[in-house]
Amino acid sequence: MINPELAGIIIILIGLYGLMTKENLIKIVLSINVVSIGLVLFFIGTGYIEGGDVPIMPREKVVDPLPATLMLTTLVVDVAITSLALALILKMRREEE
Amino acid sequence: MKMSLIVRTTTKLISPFLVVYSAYLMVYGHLSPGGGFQAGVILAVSVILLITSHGYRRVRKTFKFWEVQLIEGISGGFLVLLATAGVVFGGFFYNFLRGGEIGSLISGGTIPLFNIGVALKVGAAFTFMFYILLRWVERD
Amino acid sequence: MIPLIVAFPLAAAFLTSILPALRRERFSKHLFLIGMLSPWLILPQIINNLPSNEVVGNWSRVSGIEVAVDAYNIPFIVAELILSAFVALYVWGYYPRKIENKAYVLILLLHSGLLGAFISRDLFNYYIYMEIASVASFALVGISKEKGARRAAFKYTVFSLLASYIFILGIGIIYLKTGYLNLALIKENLEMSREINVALALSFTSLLLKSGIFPLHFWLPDAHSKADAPVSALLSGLVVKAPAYGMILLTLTFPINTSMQKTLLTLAFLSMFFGIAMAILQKNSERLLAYHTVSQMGYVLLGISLLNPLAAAYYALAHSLFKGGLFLSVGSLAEHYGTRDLEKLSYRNNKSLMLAIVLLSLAIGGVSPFIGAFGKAMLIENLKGFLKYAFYAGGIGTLVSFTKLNYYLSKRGEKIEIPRRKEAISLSLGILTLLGGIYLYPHLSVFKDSISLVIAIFIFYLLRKLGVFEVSFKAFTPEQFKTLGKEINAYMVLFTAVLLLFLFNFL
Repeated sequence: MINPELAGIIIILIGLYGLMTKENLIKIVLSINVVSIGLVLFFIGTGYIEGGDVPIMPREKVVDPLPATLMLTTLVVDVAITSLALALILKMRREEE
Repeated sequence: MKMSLIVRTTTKLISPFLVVYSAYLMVYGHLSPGGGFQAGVILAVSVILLITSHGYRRVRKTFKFWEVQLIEGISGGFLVLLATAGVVFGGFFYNFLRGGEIGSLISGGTIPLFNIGVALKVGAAFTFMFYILLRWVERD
Repeated sequence: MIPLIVAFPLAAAFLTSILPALRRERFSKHLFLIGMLSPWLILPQIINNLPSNEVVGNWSRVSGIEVAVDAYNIPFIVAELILSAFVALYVWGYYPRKIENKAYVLILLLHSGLLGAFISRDLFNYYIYMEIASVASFALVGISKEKGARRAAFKYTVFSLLASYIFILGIGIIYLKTGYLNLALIKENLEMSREINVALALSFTSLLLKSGIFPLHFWLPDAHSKADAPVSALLSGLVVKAPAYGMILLTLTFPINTSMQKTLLTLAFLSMFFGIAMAILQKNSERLLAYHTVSQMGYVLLGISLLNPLAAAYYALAHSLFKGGLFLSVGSLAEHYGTRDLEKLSYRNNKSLMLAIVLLSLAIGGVSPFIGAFGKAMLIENLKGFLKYAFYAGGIGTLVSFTKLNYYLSKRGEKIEIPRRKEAISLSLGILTLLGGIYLYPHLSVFKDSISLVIAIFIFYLLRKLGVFEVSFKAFTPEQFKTLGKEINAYMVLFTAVLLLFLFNFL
């Protein structure tokens, strides 16, 4: 059986492959996003418990909330960088013209 | 850039509900799944939907550039100041408003306030980013 | 109290960012200066209660985020505060009105991000603050006037971001195995296993990329040489120190086995000599200084690999003072001449800048009453035999390269006017390296220093006679690649190769 951690690492490797072979700058940014998605999957997988519930107080068997919280922060970084990289690409195109 | 009438009408109908849902997630973030970030993303989506269907020029007239910038900065400053206010009561980020029985709306203390701040910050920042990128693209 | 040194600049950054919306842009300068200098108010209290730690929000250590100040990070914090104060005074009125406000907000975010990274004792919190600082620095490189700055910024963004993701993957594995992110708790509950070794390999590789150590340095010379002078000073002086601090945290928490230590030691020496060799071949003043950052980060890594974090921390303090000063002084010359070509620059008509550059060059060469000598004296304690001579050779190489810089700058050039304020800032950083050295390490070894200076000048004339400085060298420049995409692909293959090497080495 494939578990989410392994799937996450495979997705990270796919992203790395894209970064090593694709020349188009937008594709490079997309490959970085693929790496980040693999990372999110890896982390969510580490926190997951079979049959776990929402981690709010009066429940017994809950999933680990910390990885999910950390991944929200990583997603924010990802969004910020993606928009910055796209802005840089736009500006580079304009300089070339 | 405008899309067809059907899309415009649908997004106009959906957007207010998204805002209400986002407000619910903001306020009840400490009692139910959800929280500041998710609420903020949904808040931003409600504006971004309108941008995609009606075009940037039209939406900019309602949600002005400087208003979005103002909300973004003020909510960020509010978060830091709220965290700093905790120093007076015992520590940075100290929850000084604790009270009420567990499960009620006010039992979170400063946490709902933080959720609201984060949601406004995230929503405004996402919208702002879209505005800036679109302003660049639409110029030519 | 400790988190407040981050909170003040952060609040100032947010308040500065709303000024354009209120049409009060003219006050952004003042708010910026307040934000940059406000952490100084808390510094005396922190130094009085050294060492101290605190969990944010008065939570227990298990559920909270811990921050601490102790002997290992106080040099970083002091270096950050000193250099950022000088840069703040330098930047006042530097940027054109159109981008002034944005540049101020970004520098404030950079400042708070660095301070946050330096005080944190929690792996994820450290990552987040380092990332705030890096994102601000990508944008600051991107707004530079220089041609090709956007390209450098894009390359910097892609590699730094990929390194961060690999770093979080490492953190994730550590969390999976130990169940904690707090370093003190990790240390208590640690059981070494293959997975932890993988995590260490991943995080060390990514931190080496972020601090610009030799095989992974490729983004550094471009990003640091294309940025504006004050931004270069911040990047070279401070931003590359945050990953070095991360490595110190890791070596303090995890037991480092000898093969790992040997790998890091080799990389440190390679990085030292490679940086010096490339710097000697450069004709662009800023690029020369940027390659010296690669070599000087090798010294910092040397301290880390010898398991002597205190030496690494003090060398980082020394490096941020003199490298920041050099970037500011050479940068102001380059800006007023309108070129970065070493042959056209000259400090002859400008006595105070001349004094500043000579003082800072002596400091970076490790001549004795200066602060560089203190760092080097701490580093050399643990070195034995052959490595000791290699270390001396590195010092002489640095002096050769700075003899070259001073030789070119002392040629006659056109007369230019440089504002008094910029001169004063460069000069006071130069004097500070002298005073700091005298305060921390009051030793004077005239004999050894004069011998190394004489050897350095001799080697310089030998190299000049051989015509080494006329060679035009195109390796490791953006021009050798056809497109930016190809460049990124090639370096990405290199990064992956180094990552695999580390993984095999650490297992």
